[in-house]
Amino acid sequence: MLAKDIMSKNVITVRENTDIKEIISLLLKHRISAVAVVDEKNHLLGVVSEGDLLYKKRLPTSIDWVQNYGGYYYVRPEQLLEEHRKMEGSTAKEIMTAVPICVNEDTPVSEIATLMLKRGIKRVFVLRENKLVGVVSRGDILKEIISEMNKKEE
Amino acid sequence: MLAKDIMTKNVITVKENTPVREVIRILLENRISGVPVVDKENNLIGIISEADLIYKEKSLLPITSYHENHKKFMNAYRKSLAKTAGEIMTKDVITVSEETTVEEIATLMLEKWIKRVPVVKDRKVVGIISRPDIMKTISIK
Repeated sequence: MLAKDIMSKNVITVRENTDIKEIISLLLKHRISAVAVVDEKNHLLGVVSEGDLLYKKRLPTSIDWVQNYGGYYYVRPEQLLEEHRKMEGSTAKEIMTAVPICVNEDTPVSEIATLMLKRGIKRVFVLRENKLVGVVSRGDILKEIISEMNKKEE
Repeated sequence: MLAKDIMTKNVITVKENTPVREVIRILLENRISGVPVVDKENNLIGIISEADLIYKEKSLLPITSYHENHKKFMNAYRKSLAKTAGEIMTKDVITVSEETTVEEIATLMLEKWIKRVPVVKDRKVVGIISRPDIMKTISIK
């Protein structure tokens, strides 16, 4: 079973300048956990997930946590900047996670499932010649697992 | 705003002996990504998320090696063989109380990488809060 057999083909996308209010209503309306950020040629630029939006409610990490203990940080300064960016941002571009994990249409489902568990991601985007053609979510994998279980039963 | 103001009160739960297949069906049918496991008295004993269930993918490649992380390795092995909710569930459940603030919950979700958190009162499940519930509270200036 390959990515193309289980992927959803109509991916909900937004542009870099889409404001987050619209993104939140898209996520809630379609009951999805992320939208893809694309340019006018449907090239994937990034992803905005529920996680990126949770920063709007997050308690700020104290700057006091950023201290250099001989090369070791409790919280790295880059992490604090990233947090600040997501807390303050108001457009897709400002809060998105760039370079999301992608696969192609012929990637086996087993590889995708492994990738999700290893990297803790909930979806992978499917690209063909750098263009977005689909998305595979954890739910899509579960559908495959249950249909296999049902087949075994018969 | 507090947990009790935004939580879903009709929590879908499963029992320890619910078959894994039934758990998957419940998630897909209700379009939810996780479900608490409770005993006869509605006491919380575990939680099952999509991630736990993906271990049932039959051709899954190794997530880690025994030498790299034996705990994670054995966990993956256990979940891949599980037949019931009790066998596949995660036992260390992160919970909040009805009085926990939305900001604390959002922070907890980001720091612990979780998508939902059961609201408990004397070990009993009284609600559940998922990421969409938090998103509904975000007001844009």
